[in-house]
Amino acid sequence: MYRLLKGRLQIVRLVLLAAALALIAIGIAAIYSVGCPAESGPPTQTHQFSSLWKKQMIFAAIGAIGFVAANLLNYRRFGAASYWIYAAVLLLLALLLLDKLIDIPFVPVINNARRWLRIGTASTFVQVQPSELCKLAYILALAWYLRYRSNYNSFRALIGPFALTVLPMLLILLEPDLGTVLLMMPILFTMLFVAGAKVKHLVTIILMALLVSPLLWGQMRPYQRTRISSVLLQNDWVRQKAGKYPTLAGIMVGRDRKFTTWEKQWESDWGYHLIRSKFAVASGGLGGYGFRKGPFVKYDFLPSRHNDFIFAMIAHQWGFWGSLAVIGLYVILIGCGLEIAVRNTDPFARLLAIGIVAMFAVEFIVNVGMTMGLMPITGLTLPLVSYGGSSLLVSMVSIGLLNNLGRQWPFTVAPKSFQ
Amino acid sequence: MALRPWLSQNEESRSVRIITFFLVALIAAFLFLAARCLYLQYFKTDYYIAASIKQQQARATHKPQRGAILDCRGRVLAASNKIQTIFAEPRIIKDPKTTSTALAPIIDMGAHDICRLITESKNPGFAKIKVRAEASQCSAAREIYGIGIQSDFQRHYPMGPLAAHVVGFTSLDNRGLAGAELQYDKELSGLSGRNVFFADAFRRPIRLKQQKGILTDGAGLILTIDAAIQQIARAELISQYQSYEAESAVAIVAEPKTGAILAMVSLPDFDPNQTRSTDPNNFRNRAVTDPFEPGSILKPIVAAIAIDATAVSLDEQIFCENGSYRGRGFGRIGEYRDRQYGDMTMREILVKSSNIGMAKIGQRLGKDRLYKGLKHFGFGKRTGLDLPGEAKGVLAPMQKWTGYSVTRIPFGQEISVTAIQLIKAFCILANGGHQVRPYVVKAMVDNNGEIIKLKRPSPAFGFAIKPEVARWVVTEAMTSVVNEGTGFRARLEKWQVFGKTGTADIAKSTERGYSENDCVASFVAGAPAEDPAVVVLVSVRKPNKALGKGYTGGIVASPVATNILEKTLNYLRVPEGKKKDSVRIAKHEP
Repeated sequence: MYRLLKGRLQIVRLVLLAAALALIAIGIAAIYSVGCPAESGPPTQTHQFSSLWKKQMIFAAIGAIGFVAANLLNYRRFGAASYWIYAAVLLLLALLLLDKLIDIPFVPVINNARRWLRIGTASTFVQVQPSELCKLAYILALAWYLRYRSNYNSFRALIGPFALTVLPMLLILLEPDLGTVLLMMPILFTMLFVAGAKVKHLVTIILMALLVSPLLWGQMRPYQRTRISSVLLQNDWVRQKAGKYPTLAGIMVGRDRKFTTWEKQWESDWGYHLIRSKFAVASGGLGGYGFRKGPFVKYDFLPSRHNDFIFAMIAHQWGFWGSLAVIGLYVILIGCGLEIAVRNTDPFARLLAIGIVAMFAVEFIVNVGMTMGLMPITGLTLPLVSYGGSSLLVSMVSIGLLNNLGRQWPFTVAPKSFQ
Repeated sequence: MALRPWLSQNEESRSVRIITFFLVALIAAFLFLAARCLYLQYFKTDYYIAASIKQQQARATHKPQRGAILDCRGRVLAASNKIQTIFAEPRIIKDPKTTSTALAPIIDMGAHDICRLITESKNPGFAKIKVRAEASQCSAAREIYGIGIQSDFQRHYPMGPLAAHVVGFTSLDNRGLAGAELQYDKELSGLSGRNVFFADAFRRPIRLKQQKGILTDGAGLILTIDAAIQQIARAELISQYQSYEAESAVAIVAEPKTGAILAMVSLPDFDPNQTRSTDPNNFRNRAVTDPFEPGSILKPIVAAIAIDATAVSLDEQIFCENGSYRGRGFGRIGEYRDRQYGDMTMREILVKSSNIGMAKIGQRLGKDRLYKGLKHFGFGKRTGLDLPGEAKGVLAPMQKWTGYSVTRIPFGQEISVTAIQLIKAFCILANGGHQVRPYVVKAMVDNNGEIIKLKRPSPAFGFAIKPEVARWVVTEAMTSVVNEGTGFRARLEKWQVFGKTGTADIAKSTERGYSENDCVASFVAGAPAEDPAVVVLVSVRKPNKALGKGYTGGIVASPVATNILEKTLNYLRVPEGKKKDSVRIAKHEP
């Protein structure tokens, strides 16, 4: 263990690890509170959550092994193997989709989605989410690919990195798992920027995407549209206008919707998660209800409160100061990650670090944003905090990789010249 | 150069600059998130706490049982049965196969079918498995996780079409749509219990928060209708209605002292259990909705008005113009079948049913007294019967009356009345001039059979005419109609019957004058004459003249009324009464 922490940038890496562990601890505490509230409500409200915190502890232990494993080899060895890892994960994703054609026993269909691989017997099993693994495999492969300038410095060369991105995106989109898909584009652009791709190329691509987006919007299903438009619709003024003008409503929520009444539909359908999550956050106040207390802890008012909406539970119990602590810990985590990126002049190492940091940052901003009604509600979890084995393992391996990147001396061929 | 994996110093510093930019952008984003937190958690806390309490409520409504409708002897005419539906909640069923296999033997359905119902349900919270499940099936099925029972009420009419028009029927959601079901919908419906719950994310109730409205089952109705009399009336009317191929027919049996309706039949009728396949026209209760020109049947009423007003005296001879009466302002009036009459008393005019005699009486009465008299008998306004859809009939306001009116109305033209108005008027005559209001609901009872509200007949708040006039018209004139005149088919062995026939022409809808082929054949009868127990009105619209069996009130309607009367009096065990001598004399006449 000591060897892992030895080396350069020791303080940065120690702080990084401490922030990560603190976040995991907060997460487990929040999951525990949901399962075992101080004043327990009816059994329907908590029984399904009661043992999750124990499982999350086990996941954390597995994550710790992942952290160590990520430090056993020189990071460049991971780079060399990155394409193979990437291919293997793609195979797993393809396997999930194969279930659509032939029934594969270890691919369960949950909520009409095929996101998990089930390992074990019918009663005791572990579920692995390949799309979570894919995030890291993708970053690894992309960083390895972008270490050469020629792979991104012309417009035509950008086809390579985009192909690397689009392939897993399509596979995950078909599962479907929209959240993870939306995560990959920001990571790609961040890494391209940092690698040194020409800004005008990237801006051109973004503009093209903006031009196509109305077409894409037209193709979206009403429920997908309402996910996004609900961010605007939570504003009373916008909602009133949309209720008054059917054209506007048609654009925002789709025309084939049958309304009972606009306002009722908003409360019980489109705005359901958003309204309730905002309630949970806001009712926490400055100091919060306290550990294992509060109506949203006691009762199952908010769906997915142990994973996607865990931040709402933290804000509910520990109030503004608790939310600020989590945000602060993330600032520290990401700051350390960026410091490691800057200190390692090896382009692969830097890109890998940037990719990991971008992943954490996007997930965090989107998740916390959606909890408070600033972002559309997507299935992105809060890394390190939310309940979920695959997510926690991938996050810990990512932290481990950052540690690895910070620990190694970049082996330079020539010293920095003419200093 | 192309494959150089290392950055130049220039590139290196650019890369660091970009990373620094990212750091600044991230910190800005984080500050923004923190600001949002502060906004929600500090500035808007109270607002959201208040809103959230509202949001966490769910309402559950418990439907009350609709009250039953019974006849005056407690026979069930309409009742609500509890129907239990077994349903599945697909979203909480993890393994539909196990659930369906467990459920299959209980409800005697194929497991495969159940499984398909569960998996193919579009509603994740409700998949109907079996309607009308038995109680034992329900209690067993309830034990299975994910299977629930929903109770509902269905209206049932055990007597079918018997009293369909009086009882009415309900919609699928148990709202009254016609008849007493509609008129007393509020009382029959009861109050639903509404509970407000704390509800979780799946709208499952956590605990009761507030109780709004206590579940109260609907009150039951006890009608004045007697199913036995109704059955008699309907059977008699149907056979005549069918044999004369009439368009429609109405029969009403009423108790003259109270105005209680003992039977009310309107043909064509319908089965309230199968309202979906019914011609909507048959839903009409013609006895209250359809006005018609009554014809001669109105004569006793006008005669009573005239005697009451002392426009004629009883022993006065009125010259009936030998069958043709014409004059300025009222055209020509003839008798039925061109008969010719000379001097006749009031009684003879009614017995012979002379139009000219009545026209002269009308002229003597004058507009004013005739109009007011008819108003007193309730024509031209609703009787106040407690059934929906009652028509007013047509009694033109006096200002619009012409010379024709005052001569035609006395024998039942230029006025249109409903069957219920007629029966009311004859009830007044039969009970000695007391005002009555017809009614069909006797009392309301709660679930235990305790009477909540007794619907007493409205007290006799006045007289339409003097009692002795009414007695004379009934016991002298109208009994003579039966004993000596057009109503001879209505004689009964045991009781003295009084009655009056009416054969009214139907005005053409497109041009002036009356139709030659169509008429309304009516007969009103009551017995026993000295103390009438029941009054019966039968009115058959458009009996088929082409059958050659006759079409007059005496031929078409009076046998029906007589049979109804006889069977009803027997059923009610009305003691045999005195009979007038003239009966025996009349019997020897053809």
